[in-house]
Amino acid sequence: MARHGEVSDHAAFETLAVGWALDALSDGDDTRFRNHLSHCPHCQSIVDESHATLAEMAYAAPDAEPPAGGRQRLLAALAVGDHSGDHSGEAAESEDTGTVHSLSERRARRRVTWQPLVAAAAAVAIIAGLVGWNITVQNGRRAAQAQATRAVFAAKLLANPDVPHVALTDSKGTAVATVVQTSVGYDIVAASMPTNDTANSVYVLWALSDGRAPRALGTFDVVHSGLDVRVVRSTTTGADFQRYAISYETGRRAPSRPHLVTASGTVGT
Amino acid sequence: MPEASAGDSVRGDDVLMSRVGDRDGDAFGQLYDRYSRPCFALARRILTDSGLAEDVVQEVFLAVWRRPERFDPTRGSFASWLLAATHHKAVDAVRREETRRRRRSSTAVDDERLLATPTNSPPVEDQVWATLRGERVRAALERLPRAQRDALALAYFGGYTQREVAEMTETPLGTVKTRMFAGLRRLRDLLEVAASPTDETGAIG
Ligand SMILES: [Zn+2]
Repeated sequence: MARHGEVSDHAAFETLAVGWALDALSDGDDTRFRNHLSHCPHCQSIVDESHATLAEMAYAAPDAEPPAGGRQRLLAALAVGDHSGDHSGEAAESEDTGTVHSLSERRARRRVTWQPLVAAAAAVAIIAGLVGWNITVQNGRRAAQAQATRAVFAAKLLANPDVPHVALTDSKGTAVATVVQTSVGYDIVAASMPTNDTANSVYVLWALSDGRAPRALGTFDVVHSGLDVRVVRSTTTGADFQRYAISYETGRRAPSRPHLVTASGTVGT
Repeated sequence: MPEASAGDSVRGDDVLMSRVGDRDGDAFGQLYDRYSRPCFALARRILTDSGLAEDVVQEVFLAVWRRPERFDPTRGSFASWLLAATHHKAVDAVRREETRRRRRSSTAVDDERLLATPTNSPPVEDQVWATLRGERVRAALERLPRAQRDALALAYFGGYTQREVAEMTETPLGTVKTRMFAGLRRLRDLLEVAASPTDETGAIG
């Protein structure tokens, strides 16, 4: 196991093990420890354990969004790299493209697309929007936790085809929000909805049914323009509404009918 | 509780990695969704440059795809292995480049890229969990003695060697080594204490 003369200063190696895990050993130490590590399972376990703790530490790094298209570039690199120098060129390439597609298709159906918002179902854009969401720490840990829990909840709902949720799009067909029915009303998972002036305006969630007047289910504010999860408390959940809409209203109360409809969507689409 | 998704993730990662070993692209895509963001955040923190950080993340994931057998589940979680690989490559890059000033001057371009619409979508549970996790770690780091925290941060996030840290902080090299050793041990203990029991059901409260 240990080479001659190493047992006595093994504590020094244990200290170096942490420096090694940090990729922080200077040249001499680096070589010395590398040699030692190759035959010391004890130090290997210290390195492994250090990596586990450092992986936690990694999450203290400021959150940052990977640049757009990274995933596609990676897949392109895979497609090229896996068959570079392969003379069966076309077959291999189409096989690989097939892999890429099977990758995307299964996920795209549910919530993810590899294309930048091409043919995106509303939920796709909204989940993408969630990526940019940061918990507002200034509201305190409890509030953050509550909102986090709600977002997780909403996400699980969005991912669950059995739970009623409706994607709302604007007049151009851009995904704007998803309405999720909950036991206390509705969760609005708003993606890229403009914030409203909470003193003088409000968003209203409407239920639309054929042959009936629009029915205001409740009001809500959008306070984060990137992504926001809002709760609309309402006693009228579970009814057989066919369509939902969101309107922007001046004043703080729901009017009898919507004035500026910003998004709408049909159940079951 | 959000903790549930972390527990689920750990179990799921090993399964996904064994599928990657069977050349399952979908499993690979799921791992990318789950971890590209923390990997990118770490690499960006070290490199202070989005472009370089993205290159690092790409290299790391390419290596995952090409050499999945390098991951040994008996030695730790996939996440800790992946983040260690990311750290290693990022530190390599930062030392290779030796262009801290140049990188800083390119932040204007970076910000534009950062504002680009995201196209990948990690599972939101993981995303929320990551944010809470970050808070927890930052709280733990704040409880370390200042000297230990600085030594760890300079090495881990700054990519500086122990010798460089010693010079920067005007501290004997031996002291820097023990500070890192003691600091990491303390951090581990703090995080273990702070850890909540994992909810096996994954139910939300
Ligand atoms: Zn040893």
